[in-house]
Amino acid sequence: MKEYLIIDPDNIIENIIVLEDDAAAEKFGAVPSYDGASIGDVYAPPPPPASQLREEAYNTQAIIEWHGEMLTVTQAAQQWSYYAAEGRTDKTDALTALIAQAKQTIREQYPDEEGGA
Amino acid sequence: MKDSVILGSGNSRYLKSVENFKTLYPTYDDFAAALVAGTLPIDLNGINAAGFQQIGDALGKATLLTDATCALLELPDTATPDDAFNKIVLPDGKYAVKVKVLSPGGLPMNGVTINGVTTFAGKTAVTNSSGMVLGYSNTQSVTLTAVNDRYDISGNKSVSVTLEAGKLNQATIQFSRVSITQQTFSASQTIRFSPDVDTFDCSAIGGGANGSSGSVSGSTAYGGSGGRAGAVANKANIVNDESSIDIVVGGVGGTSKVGSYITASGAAGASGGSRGVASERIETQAGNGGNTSGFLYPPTSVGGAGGGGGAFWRGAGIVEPGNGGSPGGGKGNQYSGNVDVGIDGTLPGSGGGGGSAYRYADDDDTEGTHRAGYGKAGLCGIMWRYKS
Repeated sequence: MKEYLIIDPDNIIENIIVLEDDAAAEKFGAVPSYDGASIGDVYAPPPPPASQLREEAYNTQAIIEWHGEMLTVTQAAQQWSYYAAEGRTDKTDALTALIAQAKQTIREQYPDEEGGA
Repeated sequence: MKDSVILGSGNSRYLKSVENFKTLYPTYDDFAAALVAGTLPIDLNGINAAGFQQIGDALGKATLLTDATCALLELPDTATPDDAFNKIVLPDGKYAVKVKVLSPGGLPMNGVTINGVTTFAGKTAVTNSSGMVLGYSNTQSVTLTAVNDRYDISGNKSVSVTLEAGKLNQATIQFSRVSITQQTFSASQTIRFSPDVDTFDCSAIGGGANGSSGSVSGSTAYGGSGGRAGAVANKANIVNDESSIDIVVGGVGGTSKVGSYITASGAAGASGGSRGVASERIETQAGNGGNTSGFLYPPTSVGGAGGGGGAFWRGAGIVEPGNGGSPGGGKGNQYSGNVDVGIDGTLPGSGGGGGSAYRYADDDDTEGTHRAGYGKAGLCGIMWRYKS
């Protein structure tokens, strides 16, 4: 069981309730609670950690140009594995460089906070 | 279709008889005798539109069952409408079964999904207000499962049946009752009773609050206040109308509800103990948490507010923490020794004890705080009775 929040149309926390799981939360229209959430306060969950945002970006940002197509980091990594299976080191070397560059770009967008991992 | 509506002006229809009518029935007595004997020859000779307010659709083969429809149903064009109805309800290659679902008390169950068959249109089979649904199966042997969504009924119920082709089969499914008639809920959920349930009672307590933290400010150590308990609400003899009931259990400081029947606000019950204060000149004793009672359905120990936090200031007396309110309020935290023990609320809706604060008279004037206790989430309860 976990605590969830009911948010009113003005984005104010209306109630804090206990639910069995996320499926039950969906039925009640509730969202996960967070430290410091209090009834009457504006709903302001802390942003997800930079590492999570980077992981999402790896899956969603198509910033690697490869043979006329734009690939995400995840798609490029998958492509890399196909070439590796075929022993195409010329391709894997080229993709490795592009993936590293893309990850660096995303890391600059979502840098670790001070003291973070 | 539309019905005919006559004006009532006495001219809506024509009669016609034989050419030699007057020869056959020269007197009124002859006419009346033939009429009484049932031998008077007439035709119903059509309608007079001037005598109608609305002329209805004619009833004939063209309007009741056309040859085209017969062909569609693979029936001869001599088929009657009744043959067509049978062909629709009992199509070739399908088995039809009328399923009736009853509550444990023998009442029809509306809105019950039946797995194992579909409607004629291939949709999910769901019982109507008479507890019945007409289902179809492609196989002769079928397991019919009535899916339960009622709180007082013990799970789904299945029956296995062998269906006969070309006839409307019958099956009855009767649910079983759960063994309990009361329940408390520590997590929110939606429930619904069967028609067997007559009335129910409900109770709720909102979530208790966390205690407040202690602090050191200037030349004074302030313990934290104890957290309030949740408010308690009860309502008895609510008539079951089979509608869904949202049971909402408030988290720490949150509001608990049972449908629209009762609302128990969080941290609005017994007051938490006041904070302890210690300085060189002042010592204010911490207060005890208030007590909670009255959660009736079912009778359950809940609540109790948190006690105020203790405090200590160098060279002054010790301000002991307040006790938690009965039955489950957390005690205020102590400034030293066995700290953090028993300070959290222990029962639903109870408040946490206040945190403590201190400054020692050692060489480096050590000062600090010990944490406040955590409140507990609320609780809801329901008791129900069956129709006799």
